[in-house]
Amino acid sequence: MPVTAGSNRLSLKPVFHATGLCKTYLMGQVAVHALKDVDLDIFEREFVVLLGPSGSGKSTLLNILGGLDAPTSGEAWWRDHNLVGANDAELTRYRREHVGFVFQFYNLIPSLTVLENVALVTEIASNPLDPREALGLVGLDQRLDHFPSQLSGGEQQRVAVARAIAKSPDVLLCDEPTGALDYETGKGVLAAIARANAQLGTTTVIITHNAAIAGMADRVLRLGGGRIIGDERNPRRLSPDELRW
Amino acid sequence: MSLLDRKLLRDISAMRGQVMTISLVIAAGVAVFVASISTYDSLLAGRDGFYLAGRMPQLFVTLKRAPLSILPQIDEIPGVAAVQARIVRDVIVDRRASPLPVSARIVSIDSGGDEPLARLHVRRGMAPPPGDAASVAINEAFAEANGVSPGEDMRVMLNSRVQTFKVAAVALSPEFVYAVKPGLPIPDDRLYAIIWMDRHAAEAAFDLKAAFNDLLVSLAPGADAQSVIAELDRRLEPYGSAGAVERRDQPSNRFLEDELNQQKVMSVTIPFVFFAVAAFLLNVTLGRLVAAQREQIAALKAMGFAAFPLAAHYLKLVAIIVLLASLLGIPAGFAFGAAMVESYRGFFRLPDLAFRITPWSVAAAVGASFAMAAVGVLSALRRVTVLAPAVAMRPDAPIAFRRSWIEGLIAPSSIRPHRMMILRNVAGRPLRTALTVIGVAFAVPMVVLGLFWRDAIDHMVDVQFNLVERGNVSVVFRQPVSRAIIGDLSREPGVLAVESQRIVPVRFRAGHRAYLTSVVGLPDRSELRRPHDAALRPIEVSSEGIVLTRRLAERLDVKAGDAIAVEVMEGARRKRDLPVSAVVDETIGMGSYMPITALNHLAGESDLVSAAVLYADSAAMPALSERFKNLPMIESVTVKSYTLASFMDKIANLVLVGAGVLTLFGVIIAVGVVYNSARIGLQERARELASLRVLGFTRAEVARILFAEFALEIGLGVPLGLAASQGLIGLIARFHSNESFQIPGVIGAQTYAVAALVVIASALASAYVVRRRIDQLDLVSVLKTRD
Repeated sequence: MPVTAGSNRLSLKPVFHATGLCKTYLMGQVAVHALKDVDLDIFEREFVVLLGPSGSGKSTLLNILGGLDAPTSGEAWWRDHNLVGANDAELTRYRREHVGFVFQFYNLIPSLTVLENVALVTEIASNPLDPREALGLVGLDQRLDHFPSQLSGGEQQRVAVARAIAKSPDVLLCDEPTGALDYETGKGVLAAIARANAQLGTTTVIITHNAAIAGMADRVLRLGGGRIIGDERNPRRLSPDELRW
Repeated sequence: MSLLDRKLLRDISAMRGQVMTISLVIAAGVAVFVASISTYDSLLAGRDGFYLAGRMPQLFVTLKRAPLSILPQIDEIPGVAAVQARIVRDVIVDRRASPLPVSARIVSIDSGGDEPLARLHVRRGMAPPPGDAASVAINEAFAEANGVSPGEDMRVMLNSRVQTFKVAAVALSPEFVYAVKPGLPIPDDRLYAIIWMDRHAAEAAFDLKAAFNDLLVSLAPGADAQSVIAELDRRLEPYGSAGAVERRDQPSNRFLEDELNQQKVMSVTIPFVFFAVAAFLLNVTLGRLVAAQREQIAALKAMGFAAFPLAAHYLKLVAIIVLLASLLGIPAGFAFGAAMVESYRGFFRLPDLAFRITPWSVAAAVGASFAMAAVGVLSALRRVTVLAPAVAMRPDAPIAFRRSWIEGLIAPSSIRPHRMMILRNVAGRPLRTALTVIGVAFAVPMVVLGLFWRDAIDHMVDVQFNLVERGNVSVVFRQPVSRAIIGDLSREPGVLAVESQRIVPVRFRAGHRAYLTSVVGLPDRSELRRPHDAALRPIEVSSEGIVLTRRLAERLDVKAGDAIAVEVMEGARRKRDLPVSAVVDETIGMGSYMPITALNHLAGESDLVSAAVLYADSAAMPALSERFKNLPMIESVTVKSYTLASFMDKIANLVLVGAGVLTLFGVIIAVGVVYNSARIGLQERARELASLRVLGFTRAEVARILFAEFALEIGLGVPLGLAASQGLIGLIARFHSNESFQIPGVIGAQTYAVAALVVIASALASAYVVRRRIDQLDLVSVLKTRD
């Protein structure tokens, strides 16, 4: 079991469990092997960074874990939900009930205010946070009535984080959350994600090609050529303030 | 193939649904345009050909009796080219097979049908040669309606006794292209015949030896019709001339002319609407397509493509759409036109009425479509190409949403966020919303335009035959008789009410305008004939003046209160100035009314009647008809229900063709607007909607958000369209009205309902197609793409 001393807040039970995951895309005549025989466990409350360059397969892995894509072969479980072979309605319910997403380009609804963007997802959640509380967690409780076009990129991404955590998801999946942001702004967003992980205990998976971010994780999974080529546990999690890149 | 062309083909393939629906709208415009212009030209060619070959006269004179010996004096009037003196009489035909009395107009011929004027076009058999007093020729419409063939007998009441003639020929005449029984607004081929008989037989039958009572005149080229008419009227007045009538007012020609004008109007108004909608659709759709390809265009520009090949590239897209539209629209126009010409065949008896396509109409339709489409595309393209490539390659700035004024009216906190999305999207893109709403609104009147004819005709018939003419049988006497006959008629079994009428031929003059018609004299408080005004209130005919129908008042350019000169065209030919006491609205014909006593006084006669309107028990009708067939003083009998049924039968086909085609085109527009708006809406919102799907919204929830916006736009567009229909139909009805028929701009509740439902159904069908695309939204790609 990859559990070390100092991580007593982590449970021993994996929430994600995948074995032998393969994903092959057909790009015209060429078969692209995005994932090759990946085995993976992610534990409750764990903060995991999937690190790898472009084309390493990290996005494909996140999409499969998020119920957006299906592997070509292998197994993927969310607790007792089999994510492989589930139909669209089952996957939609899985995302709706358990997953919070943060996208690289925020994907806020431009016609809704900050507060409304967050409230939108609380409508479909069974046990949501108060949208204001979620926005408080990301430090945006002063700009509730602003529209996305009136916010900076970092602020928009923090709204996206608040939106993701507002439905009290079991897992937060973040796809290059700082990819479109500058250094300082990016760190602010990471701090918001870390706070959600710490205060709400949300299992968090971030994919990034930025190695510096790995420092704030419990565990870092390195991907390359569609395989997991490294699985390291940080002896100490750095706070986002301590990150340098 | 160049790479740009390959891109073009792929673009077309990717948006085939949109290309197809836009092509269909343009095709509809092309079809209506080509069909109406070609139908108009076909009718015109058919008429002109027949008038020329059949030597259609320019002037028509009816008189009491004149000796043939005066003809040389007529011939020498300057401007007269040829004359033809005839004997014309209305008679009753004894047809056992017919449940109702059949009327006929006997027209004498001198030269076996090959007359100097109004020459016959013999369809079957041979017209009676000079001297043949035993045979006749009959008109084709009657022959067809009654199944009469050459060789059969025709029994005609001549001077109170039945005389039998052999039908030797079935013929057409330019004078009777549209043969309507005098006094009737609409034709009834089953009950009205034209019988051509050799002069010798006619002379004997009507005691007009070496005399005539009808004169046809053709004019020399450049002759002034008015001065010839004045001279003719002067010379023929002693012989009881009712005044020379110009071709323009000859009944058959007037109907034909009115229909031609209507066709001409239709060929402009209706395609205009289609082209306008097509241009709007193209402008919006292709405009948005170009906008969506903004980054591609910028990249091509950055790579060194000049503006011209880029413009040419998008114009090729337009050309392909227009080509597709032409491939569909031209054959459809041909079929539509051929069907219209075919349905006119029953109305207009022209020997050579063939559908001919008018080549310039095809060129004009295709050219106009291309021009309108090109404007839409080029204006959108210009918006992109004026940008520097570096600017254009960045996506368009996102819409800066604001709280809309609508939110001020409702507490925003009471609206749930997904509804707020719907509201702000509709209010936040006001121009786009307005365009979609207008597009939907356009589709409604198109469907109404197809369906309203039925309502208009029903209304027309209802006003004329239920409100105005309230009797169910009318009879015209051979000559004015004493009022005592009304008492006799009322004693006939089954007759519940009888009212007398006096019909006097007159000429009205107001300033330089003149019109030959007849005045109908009505008894006090007439119940069986009640003129109505525009608000459908009955108008009492006052003894102080004369009542004119609106169309006649317009023709004479007078209004209530003005005075007009009335010249009686029979008897002592008295002239009087009379005030117009009221203008009434009747939907058919151009008539006028006076109290019967005042009219008799004007004519200088005592208490005479010349016609009667009866209200008879329908069960007694067969016996009554049989009786009327044998009453010598009755010249013609009209049974309203029978005439009406025959008319409705005749126009049914014409209305059906028009309504069917226009409704189909309305559906095409509705689908074109709705489908394209939905597709573009989806295209523009794909990322947002896919994001919602990733966040856990179901397909149905996402579809509901998109379609709710849409429902809102349709919810606004349909009522707007219904309101616009009233205006458009009013305009179309006004354009299409003529002296024969005043088309009322009336739309029935059912028509409104059907039009709304057709548009809503088209919207639902389009939504269904688009819904399937929502299911195929690519959820993975939205995670990686920038807005």
